[in-house]
Amino acid sequence: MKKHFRFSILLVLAILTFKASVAQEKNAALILEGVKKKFALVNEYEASVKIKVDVNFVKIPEKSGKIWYMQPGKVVVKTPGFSLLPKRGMNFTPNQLFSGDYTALYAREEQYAGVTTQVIKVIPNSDADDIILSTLWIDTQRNVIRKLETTTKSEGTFSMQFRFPAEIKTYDLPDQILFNFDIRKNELPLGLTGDFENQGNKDKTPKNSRGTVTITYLNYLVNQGKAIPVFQKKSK
Amino acid sequence: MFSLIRIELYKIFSRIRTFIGFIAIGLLVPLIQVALFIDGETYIEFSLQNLKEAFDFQGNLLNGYLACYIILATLYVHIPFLITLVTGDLLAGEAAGGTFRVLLTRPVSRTKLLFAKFISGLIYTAALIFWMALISLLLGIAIMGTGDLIVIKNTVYIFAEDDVLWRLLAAFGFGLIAMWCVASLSFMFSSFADNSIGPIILTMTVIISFIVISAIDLSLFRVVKPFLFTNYMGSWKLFFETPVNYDKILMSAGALIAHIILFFGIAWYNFKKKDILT
Amino acid sequence: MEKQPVIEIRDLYKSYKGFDAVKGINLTVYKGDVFGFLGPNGAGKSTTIRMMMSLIKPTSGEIRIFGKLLSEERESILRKIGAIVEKPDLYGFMSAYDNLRLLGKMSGIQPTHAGIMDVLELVGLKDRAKSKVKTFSHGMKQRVGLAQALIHDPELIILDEPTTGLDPQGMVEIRDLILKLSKEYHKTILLSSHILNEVELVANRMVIINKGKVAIEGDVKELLNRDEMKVTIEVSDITKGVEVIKNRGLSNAMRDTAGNKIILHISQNEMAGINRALIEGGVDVVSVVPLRTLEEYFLNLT
Repeated sequence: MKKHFRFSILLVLAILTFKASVAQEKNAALILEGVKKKFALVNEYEASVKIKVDVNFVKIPEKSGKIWYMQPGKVVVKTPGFSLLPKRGMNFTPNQLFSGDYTALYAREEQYAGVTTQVIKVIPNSDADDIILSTLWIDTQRNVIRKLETTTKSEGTFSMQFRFPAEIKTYDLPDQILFNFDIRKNELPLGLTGDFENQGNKDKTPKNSRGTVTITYLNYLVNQGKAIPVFQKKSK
Repeated sequence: MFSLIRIELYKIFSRIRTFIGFIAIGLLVPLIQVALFIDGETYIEFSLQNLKEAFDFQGNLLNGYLACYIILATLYVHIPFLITLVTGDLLAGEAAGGTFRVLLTRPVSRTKLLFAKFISGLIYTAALIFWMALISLLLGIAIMGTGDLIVIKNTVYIFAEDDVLWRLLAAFGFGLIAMWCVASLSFMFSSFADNSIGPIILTMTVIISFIVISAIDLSLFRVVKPFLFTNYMGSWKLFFETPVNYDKILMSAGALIAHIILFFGIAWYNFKKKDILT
Repeated sequence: MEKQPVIEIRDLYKSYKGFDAVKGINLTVYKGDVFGFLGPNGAGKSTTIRMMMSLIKPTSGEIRIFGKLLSEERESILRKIGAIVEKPDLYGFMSAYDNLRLLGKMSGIQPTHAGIMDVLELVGLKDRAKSKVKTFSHGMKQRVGLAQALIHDPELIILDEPTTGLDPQGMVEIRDLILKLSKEYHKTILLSSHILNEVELVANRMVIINKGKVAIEGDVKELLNRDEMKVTIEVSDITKGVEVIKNRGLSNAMRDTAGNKIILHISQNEMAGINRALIEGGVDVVSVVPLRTLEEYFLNLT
């Protein structure tokens, strides 16, 4: 009897656990679906951007320019002069991230930047994928991603933090994205603008460090056809 | 005094050797510019390899400003030669040509004459640097346009287009002080010599040796490094940093000016008591 | 009228690293003089002239020009001196005209076109005014050198070996020019040379220096016409000739080593008598070469 009782408890627990996990999976997929749907409303946009690069061995002034986006993930950025754009994520869209075969897992609920977010882990099923694991902090209230952290095979981890205006609009686009990534400092080839005199000086900056790029978006013009000529021109 | 300077300048600019420098720069600078125009993109890519891993580049870095910076950096050792060609000859040439006998028997004090020659040498140097700045900038901009300037040191600096020109002009300005120092050195050697080859070779030997000593990172050399004036000649590069270290630039300029005064002082002391035997 | 000294040199010494080039020279040049500054090569002429022109500093001694100390009033003195020191080197890369224009300016005048052309005409280079000096022959350089010494109309002209390397025609021209400058323009001229003859033809006073010291100083005519002279007489019969001369009481007569010449020291006024005696004694006189003692002395120096 005692044994049987024990068994049934274990069974119940097992069933309960199984149910819970199924519920979570559903939950994660649903949450992601909501984000995708919300973002799918944006077909194209034009916006002004300010790009601020913060890497300890790079000094570049803040740049102002324009960004054009078009579905499914085409991005063009134009600034006067020269600018450095984060290699990953500039063309980030939820659609793109989840286009492949992946497994999404619900992790937990978490307060992030003053908002309640649902934390979801996304693991690509293909071994060939460079991404090992992505973690998303999703604001289910607005169906937007608040934060994204990705670990890759080749380039370490990078993260994107999205800031949204308080006012909720139809097209809920961030007014600022903070990119954070690993950057390796190789010995810079002295090359043409080589600095012979300082060659002897010991390089004090660490070889590996984090870099951030802050992009501030202003004056979104969404689905007004502004970006279409830019990409037409490009495809030509 | 002005009339003496004008006479000396007339003499300087009556000679073919004076124009060697202008011609050399007039050929060399466009050559570098055209080469950069054709192949510069590859060089920039190469220099920026590791940034390429983390960033996408937007915009063009190959422009007249970059060409101008590269010209400044590369001609650092060559311009002194072109300057010395004239300034090393200012006194020695008169000795070699025997013209001191007509020059120093005029009712002009040696000190005044020496000063006029020295000032003329500085004016020649300034003209050469101005010429270099003029074609480096104007021709470079004509060929490649303007744009942001990238400078790769331990840190990669990218300067906005509207923040570059003053830096380049300041760099040329500082470069002029450095070249005046070279001119003064050769002028000093010139005061001891009876032929102009000696001071030219001696000046170049000193400059090249000093640069080599500065470049080799041995403890013995590190000790003497602050005493080598060539060490301060490269400080024009400090204008290409943010924030600009004005204290260091002023200190370098001060060191160079102190050397100019020292070199002239030695030349003056020597020339004043010199017996003209040629 | 008291003669006015233009150059006064007192106890002038110059030594270079143990070598004494000039060892206590004293000389005075008066206004209006054409002063011959004679001496063999290496006697110290150029060193002395360089000291007068302040190209080199005396080790000791005093140079006064126009009554002023050179060491104290160099510029005001040099304003009134024109000089050629040794070779007449000018700026080869400039024309004769430009050389004169610049050097004139440096001498404190504003050379006019006419002024420059006048000087060039004086030295016979008017038609080559615009030619670069490096294209000039030695003679032309010598003349343009003279022109630069004259461009500022100096009171005193110092010419250091101005005829060196010139052909006989050129030498005559320079000599005439010196005489012209002296007689017509009333310049005081110091002319250095190692050729006595050259000085004799133009100078009124002279000094001979040797090994850095003054050997002889004085009036040219007086110095050259001192009565004692050495005569070489070529005769038809040497033995007879010597005998005739010895009979006149001149025991110093001697044979030349070559054999047919008699060498003797006499005073100038005796020569005519000797000549007559030889002819009367039946000796044919083939030639008489008088050599003044100064000339002999000078030849021995050089």
